[in-house]
Amino acid sequence: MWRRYGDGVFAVLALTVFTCEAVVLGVLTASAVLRATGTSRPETAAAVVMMTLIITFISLTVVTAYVLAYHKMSERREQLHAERMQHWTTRWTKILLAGESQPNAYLPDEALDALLSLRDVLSGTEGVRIATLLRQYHVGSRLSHRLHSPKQLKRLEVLEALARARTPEAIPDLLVQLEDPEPRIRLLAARALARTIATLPPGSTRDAVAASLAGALERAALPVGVVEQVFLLLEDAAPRTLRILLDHDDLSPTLRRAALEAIGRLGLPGFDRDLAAAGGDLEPNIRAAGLRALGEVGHLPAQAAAGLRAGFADAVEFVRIQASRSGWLLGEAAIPLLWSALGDRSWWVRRAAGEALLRLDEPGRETLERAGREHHDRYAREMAAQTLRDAPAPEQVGGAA
Amino acid sequence: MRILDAVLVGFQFFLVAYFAVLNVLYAFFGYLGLRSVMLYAREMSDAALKDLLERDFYKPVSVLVPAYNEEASIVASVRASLGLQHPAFEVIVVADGCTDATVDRLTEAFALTEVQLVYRRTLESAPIRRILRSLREPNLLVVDKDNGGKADALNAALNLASYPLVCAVDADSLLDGDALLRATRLFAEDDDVVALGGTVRPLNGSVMDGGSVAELRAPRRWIERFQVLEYTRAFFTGRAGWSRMGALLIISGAFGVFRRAAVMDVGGYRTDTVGEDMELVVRLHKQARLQGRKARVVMTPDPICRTEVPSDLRSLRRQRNRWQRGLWETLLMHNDMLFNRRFGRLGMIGVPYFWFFEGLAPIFEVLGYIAFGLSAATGALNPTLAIMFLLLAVLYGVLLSQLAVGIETLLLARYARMRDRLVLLAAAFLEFLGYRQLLSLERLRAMFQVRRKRGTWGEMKRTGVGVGSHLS
Repeated sequence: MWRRYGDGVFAVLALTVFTCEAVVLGVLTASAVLRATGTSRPETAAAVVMMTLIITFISLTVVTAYVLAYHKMSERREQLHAERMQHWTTRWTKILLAGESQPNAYLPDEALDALLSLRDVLSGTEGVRIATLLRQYHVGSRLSHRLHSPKQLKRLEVLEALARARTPEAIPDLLVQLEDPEPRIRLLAARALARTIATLPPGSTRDAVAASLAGALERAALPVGVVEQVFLLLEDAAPRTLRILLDHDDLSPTLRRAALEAIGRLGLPGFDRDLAAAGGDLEPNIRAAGLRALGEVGHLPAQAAAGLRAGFADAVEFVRIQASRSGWLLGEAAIPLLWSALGDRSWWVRRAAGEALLRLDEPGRETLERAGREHHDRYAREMAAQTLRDAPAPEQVGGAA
Repeated sequence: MRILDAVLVGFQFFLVAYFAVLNVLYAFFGYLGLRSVMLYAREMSDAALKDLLERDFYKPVSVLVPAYNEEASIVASVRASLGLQHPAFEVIVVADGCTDATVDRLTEAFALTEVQLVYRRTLESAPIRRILRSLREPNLLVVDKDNGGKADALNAALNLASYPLVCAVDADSLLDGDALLRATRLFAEDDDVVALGGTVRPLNGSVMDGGSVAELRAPRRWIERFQVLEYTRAFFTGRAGWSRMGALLIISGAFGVFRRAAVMDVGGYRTDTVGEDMELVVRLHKQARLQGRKARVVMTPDPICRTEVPSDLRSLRRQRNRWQRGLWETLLMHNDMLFNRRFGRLGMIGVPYFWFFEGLAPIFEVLGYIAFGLSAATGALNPTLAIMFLLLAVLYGVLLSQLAVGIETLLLARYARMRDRLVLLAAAFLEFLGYRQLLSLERLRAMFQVRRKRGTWGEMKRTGVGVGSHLS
């Protein structure tokens, strides 16, 4: 991890030094060329080198002085910061638990930082009280105001603080940040927004914000993993946001895939139609995400069964892997499909088929034993034997359950 | 005589221009590196990382550890790898035809037992003698195979890797506890990321405790201190800058994370080069461009890997010789990328930079010293000007080192003692008194050995990543 203070000054210093050096090195090169062509005198060249030397020496002295001073000062600063944080954490704890009087309207940075740290660790009644304190001190609006800073680094810091504060007052500003041209700002705004929405109580306000978020996500062009992250951070608000998104007819493949992945990861019921539709999608990533989600949710809607069966014969390897992995949902009807998948040309499909057979308990184990002996494909026989060797004994499974 | 004078004078002016362009580029990348550190410091806090971990937002990783005669350090190294904070990972150690007690040490420490494993042999490798699994650490696998070199060992490990990401780590290196979490986050967030390199820092001199670094200290030997500066400059300025430009061509063999499928698609590591780490990255870039796919190769200031650097001149010279040969082998294998617009910034900036400012640099540097001597002998040298220029080269070199050291002070885990910082400042001056010249000569020598010694590694004397020890 990195220190966040003093780097701006260092960057300005470095930029100044580099600019000066680039200029003097340019002059040096030009003077060398002029000297080589005989259009300048040796004294001029010597003067240019001397000037370059002096400027470089000054630059070096300034940079070295800064580095040494920063080293020394940062030690002291961190010690003071730790002491102040300790003081404020103790004070806030007393305010929350022992009802001590609150500080006046102005909160120093350490006080806010300590309060935000407590916000991260305390929930329940104390969590609600911290949220009230944050509202009383107008933390949301104070931080939101700083989002208008032209400095990207400052805005990133504010967005992180807002993610910790989770103050609903900041939601409109965060939605605006989701449309920022800088991807890092959009990423941090999306995280802060998701964490904030997750704290809202169920109801029309949360639904309205979820709808706004869904719309903003469509415009934000975030990578699929980031969108998935947002859904995970939304917690209880995720199903509503996912529903709104998936109801859009012209949803981008990236968002559709992220939504399906999130449904699987969160194990959300109620998306049967969407999971079934994914099986027939032209995009292999979406077909795979839908099949994976089926396995993770652990429920096979009737309309998705055909897609799951079709997945075993898909031309794309990773779709077949997901179909095989979720194949156990078909029950004993999956056994012929998994038997064939054990002989697939892909090692990963064979492995997934073996593991899916194990999930079918006794009939699956019997199939694996039979495949180990009788499967026409040598690799299928080896995989079946390997799967059984790696599998915990049935009594262990029972014991664990 | 006049012709010689003219050549010498002309070469002197060429050197001035070369020096100016190179240093402006260094400065430019230095600034980009600093900028990426500043952005990175604000993009992913510990709290945000914890947040994602609690929601199972991670990708599992196979840590691949090729080992050749590492009996001194292997147990501590594997223990450190097994202690990494990550919800799902496996460690695959490949004993590459070890002639010492590497496998015995592992067997004793981790209760290894031979297992029969079915795995896909997608990549060719030297024959595997046996596969051992730990009875104590379920996520540890040891492969005992015939000697085939580091690349061959990595290919064998890739065949056995069961997770979508693979992390190649040298056996003499230690990763920060959360290194995998930080590294894999980028893969989880962006499908286009195919490879990621972290920062590698010398471990020598640090106080160790239980396989992890208890306190960072500058090494005691100057040869190691010079390398601390080299690594600081290379990672905090050079590579971070190239990464920002989208033209990063090297991920250190000591620590790199890759998308397994992407590595398999390009055929794994090439075994006919000693620059297998750079060659793989170049091939990943190249194949993606040729197929019209997006492929991001990134370097982030975190995670950090600490590695043991050579502490004797002989090992250091062998290492640099190997690096230079690896560089040339890679550049020659992919010479079609040079000034090829099809490869974008890589072809127009990245590859040419490596040809002219990394590959050919030793020639210009050594020729510069020769020209200096000849000019002095023939009277074609203006002594005042020459001394001032030499002084300028030294000051500029020290300035770049100090800027890199300045970035290092921003690290929370930095050299804590002021004394160490002063030592590094002194080292920045002293490295010009023989150290740089010696390495330039070795690199020049390596250039003439590219064909003859293709794929040949030298051995390095290990102190050992000891537990509870003070290295060096």
